[in-house]
Amino acid sequence: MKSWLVIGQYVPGHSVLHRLDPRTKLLMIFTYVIIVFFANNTLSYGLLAIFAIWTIFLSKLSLTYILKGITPIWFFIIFSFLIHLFFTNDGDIIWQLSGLKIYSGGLVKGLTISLRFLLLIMVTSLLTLTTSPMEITDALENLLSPLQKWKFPVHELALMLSISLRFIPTLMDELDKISKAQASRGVDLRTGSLKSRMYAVIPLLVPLFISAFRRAEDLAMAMEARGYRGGEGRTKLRQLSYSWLDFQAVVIYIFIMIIFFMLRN
Amino acid sequence: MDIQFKKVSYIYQPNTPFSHQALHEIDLTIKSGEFIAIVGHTGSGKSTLLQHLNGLIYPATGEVRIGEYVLNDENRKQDLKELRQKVGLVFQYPEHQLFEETVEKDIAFGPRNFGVPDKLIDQRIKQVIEEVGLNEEILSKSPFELSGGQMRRVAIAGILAAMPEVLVLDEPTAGLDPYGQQQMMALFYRLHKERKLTTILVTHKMEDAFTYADRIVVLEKGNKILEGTPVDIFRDRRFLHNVRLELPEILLFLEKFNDTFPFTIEYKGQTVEEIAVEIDQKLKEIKGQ
Ligand SMILES: Nc1ncnc2c1ncn2[C@@H]1O[C@H](COP(=O)(O)OP(=O)(O)OP(=O)(O)O)[C@@H](O)[C@H]1O
Ligand SMILES: [Mg+2]
Repeated sequence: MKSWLVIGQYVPGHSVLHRLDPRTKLLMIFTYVIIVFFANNTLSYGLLAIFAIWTIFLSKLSLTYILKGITPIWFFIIFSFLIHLFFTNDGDIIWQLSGLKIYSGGLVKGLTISLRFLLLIMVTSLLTLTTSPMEITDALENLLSPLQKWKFPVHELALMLSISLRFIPTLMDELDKISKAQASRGVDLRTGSLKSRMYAVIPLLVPLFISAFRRAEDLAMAMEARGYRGGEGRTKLRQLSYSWLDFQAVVIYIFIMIIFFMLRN
Repeated sequence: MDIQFKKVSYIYQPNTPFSHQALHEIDLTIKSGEFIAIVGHTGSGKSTLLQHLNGLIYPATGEVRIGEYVLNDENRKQDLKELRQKVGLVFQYPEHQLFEETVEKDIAFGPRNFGVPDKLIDQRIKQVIEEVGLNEEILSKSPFELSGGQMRRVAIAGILAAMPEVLVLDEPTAGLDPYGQQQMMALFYRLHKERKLTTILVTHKMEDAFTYADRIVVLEKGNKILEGTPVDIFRDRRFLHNVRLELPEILLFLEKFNDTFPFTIEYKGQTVEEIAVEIDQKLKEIKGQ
């Protein structure tokens, strides 16, 4: 597996963040993601950034590990920053070189958009980093369960999600193995024309798909063999339960949100 | 091609909470034409060691020399095509790397990547398919309609068709039936002799290590804890007990036999048959007295 990629990874631990009920985390992050779009001045952005950094500190994970781990996202962040920087034209011209003009509005817009992006990614990665895929799906299933009244397939959805999450690392490992095996048969993904590199992907994808299908079949068989018959009447090994910690977290969170809306203008 | 590991360490996922040192300062020299067996428990770092031989991973510290190639942390960007042709790596479960429409195309895939002319490839396909004990009829079939054992053979044929000088085998017989395992090992040994290959075999079966290898290397938790000829290893067998590796049956028998009877039979790397003959002679000598 790519060692530095943190997206979707789970790092087991015992920090405060790990111990929170996954539903609490899910709800907080969900609201955070929406609230990020309401920030409209330096103070409100600052508060959200401080909150994000504080939670990372609480998770006992290193900030550099997370920032490095979202390397592919950095590309998007910088890209969108540059797009806004060069293609917005309100405000004053702050810098000019032959035909190229940079406006203050562009700078502000570029900065806010990329900060928003960064905050979103940091906070959502923090969710997956401190919550096991099982917990995430249990929480989702639990939170969505009222929808069952309207025949919404909550359990099936949660199961699909947990299986996909469960198999991402497995498939990444598999891909790593296959690409090593093909590399030793002379496949070169790093040099050559674009076309030849596209062709070089086929020897990776075919075995990957075959193994994914094989795994899916095995899994289906194993589930049936163990008597899986859908969600109805199925009990859970781990029951979710809110604790004092969740209460404290929610109170602090609501407090911060109130300050946030006071800081906005 | 001589191969040399100098204080090779390797760390998976460095600088993350998952960081795991899989190899600790491994020193190992393999002479051209040798047959080396690497044994050790699951997770002891055998596959990690092997991947260095093809430049698939680079040592975190230390260096690996393979013929003229030097692999260390400083020269990660080099063209490894020639190295990869010369060192054929058969992975654990190599059948998982098959992908072409026909067996023939799949076997041709490696040599074609290495720039072998088409005419020569055709010739080699016929040769290797026979060497791995398959019929030429199979060439036009899809690799996915074959049995597990046949797929394994096709995958191995695909490596052999590149005509490597060094053959690296990661548990090549895992999951085959006993007869197939024997056949496969016999094939590798024959190729080793005929093509004068340098062979590096990772195996869980001490039997195979003692039968075929010139030298055996024992890994445990990423450390090399023992290295020597089968006779050396037999002499140092108490180290094997420490890491819960079992001697092959025949040597366990020899140990018990020597404990029970008033005469001893020296282990010099004999086969089962040779030991049987020796015992027979000893018994006859005693009867004669
Ligand atoms: N891609 C990887 N990422 C992280 N750790 C890994 C990775 N591959 C292997 N390891 C770890 O490195 C150690 C050595 O693994 P390796 O595959 O070399 O063992 P092995 O001796 O080949 O075992 P086996 O006999 O099961 O094949 C193990 O502890 C394993 O968990
Ligand atoms: Mg292995």
